[in-house]
Amino acid sequence: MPQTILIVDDDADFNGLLKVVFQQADYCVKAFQDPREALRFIAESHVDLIVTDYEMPFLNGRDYLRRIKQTKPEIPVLMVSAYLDDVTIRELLREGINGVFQKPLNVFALLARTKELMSAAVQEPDSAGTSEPSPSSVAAVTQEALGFPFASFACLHEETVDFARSLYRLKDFRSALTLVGPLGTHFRQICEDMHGFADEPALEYFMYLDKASLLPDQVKHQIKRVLAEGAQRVTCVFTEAEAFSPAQWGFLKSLPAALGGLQTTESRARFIFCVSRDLDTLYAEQLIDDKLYMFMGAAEVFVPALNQCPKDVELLARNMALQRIDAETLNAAPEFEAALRERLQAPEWPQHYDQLHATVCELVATILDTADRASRHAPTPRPKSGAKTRLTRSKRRSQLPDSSLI
Amino acid sequence: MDADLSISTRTPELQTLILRSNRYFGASLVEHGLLAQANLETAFEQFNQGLHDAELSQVSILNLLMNDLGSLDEADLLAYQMDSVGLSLIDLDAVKLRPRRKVNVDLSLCWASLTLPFDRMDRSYLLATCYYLSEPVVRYWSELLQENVIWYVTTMDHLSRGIARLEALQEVSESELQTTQLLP
Repeated sequence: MPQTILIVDDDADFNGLLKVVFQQADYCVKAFQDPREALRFIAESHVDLIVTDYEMPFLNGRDYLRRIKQTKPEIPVLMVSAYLDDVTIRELLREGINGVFQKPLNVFALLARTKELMSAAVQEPDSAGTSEPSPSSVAAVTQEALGFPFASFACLHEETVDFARSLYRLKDFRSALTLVGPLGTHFRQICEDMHGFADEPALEYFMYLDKASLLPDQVKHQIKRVLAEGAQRVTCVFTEAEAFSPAQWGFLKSLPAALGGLQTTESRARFIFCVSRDLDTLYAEQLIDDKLYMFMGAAEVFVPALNQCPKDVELLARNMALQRIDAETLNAAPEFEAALRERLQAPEWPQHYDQLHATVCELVATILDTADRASRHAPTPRPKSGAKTRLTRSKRRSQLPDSSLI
Repeated sequence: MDADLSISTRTPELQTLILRSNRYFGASLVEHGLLAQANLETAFEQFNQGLHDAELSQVSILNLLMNDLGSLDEADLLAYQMDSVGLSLIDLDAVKLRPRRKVNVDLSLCWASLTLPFDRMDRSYLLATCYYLSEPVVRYWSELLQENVIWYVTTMDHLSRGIARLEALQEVSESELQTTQLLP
């Protein structure tokens, strides 16, 4: 027996479109334009899932959701709306919404989420109301779960939530923090999140030093110069520290003794070490000595591997894609969702974040190529006055962020 | 068979035990909400300064936190271990220690990990410690003794006096042994 979806949208055209979409996916559909009629139907009939607009006559989406949750809390509810701000999305999440989809609608994402909720309802009838939120509300979910901004992970797993909270707790560490993550970890993004935790990020200076840029003779001078220019605190991030030369490690070993000189009147210089092996291993291998072991060990935090947080991966991938192309282009490319799901089928991610990043870049390039081909074959309409013109491929590419920052 | 655990002072193994015991203990205090991160960092800095010069009995984060920095209340630490971890408190002053009979152990290990095996019953060792929250300490002793271990918590003063008493008893015992060997 097909599962029943109830659609509520006062826009007759969009209502009809949704009806067709779900009917073609073999669902039994009941559609209403008046939310009050829909409520009466829900009270008297069996419904497996509700898809509703936010802006409607007589009842807005939030009030409508509350009424449903009061009478039939077990029915999952998806919201489709032209525009919802982050505050509203957070409120809807608190009220128990199961997914928010913004227009222009990505039909494939909507159907995928519907299928997910329907399957969950069949397997665990009691848990339908607590399913994870949709990809379109990642930012809201992360903020909601943590209470502070965090972009390194979507925080849909205990491991990633614990990791984010550990970092936040250490936001004012004074001397050293060691981040231990598998090869390919996005240490820079993680440190940028830490930068964002600061009370006044503009007054904090994060200095990223890798094997090529760490010049031991100049680091102290650089720190002092930045402090003299007005920074309240300097955080030196040693990325891929295990690749450092013996001379560079010699410099790191001098840090515990040199720290007093760098801190002078206040705690103004501190250090983040990014490594792939834990401190006990580095010590056993004699890469670090006694003092550096204790210095780095004041805070040792382990970055979760991607295969520990599969739910995060899809959302991370989407965010990565959005950093490279605009949301409109992404939403208009349903093949992205399908290809992404296919690529994310339980890989082990041996190169961790770098591998995910490469995968997404490849998919985005495919989308851009497809869009280019389509634009070459389509007739060129005369742009209307004030109409939004879409970016050409070359323009979009020129707007891409520096990949080293991702 | 009694364990025979000989190790000379400040071997690499002992140095590693000192470092790991103290690092994990400090981190655990922060993790369990018994210490602020800033206080831990200060303690680690001071620990580093005295790491190679201080007496073995003085090289401990616990000692620094309680006595030098005053940032940890031992009563809170004991209460946490008894209430949350479920350990019992032992008064080592009331325990009769017997060297080289039931537990034969190099006492530098005890100083390095602030842990003392004080008795043995059936096939279980009874250990008193200040560092139960340090995972390497628990693992080290469990692997070393290779028998069931029953853990007790104790105060730093009691533990220090206990190890010192055992040191004195071992010295007496060794001198008696030497005297016996010299007799015709």
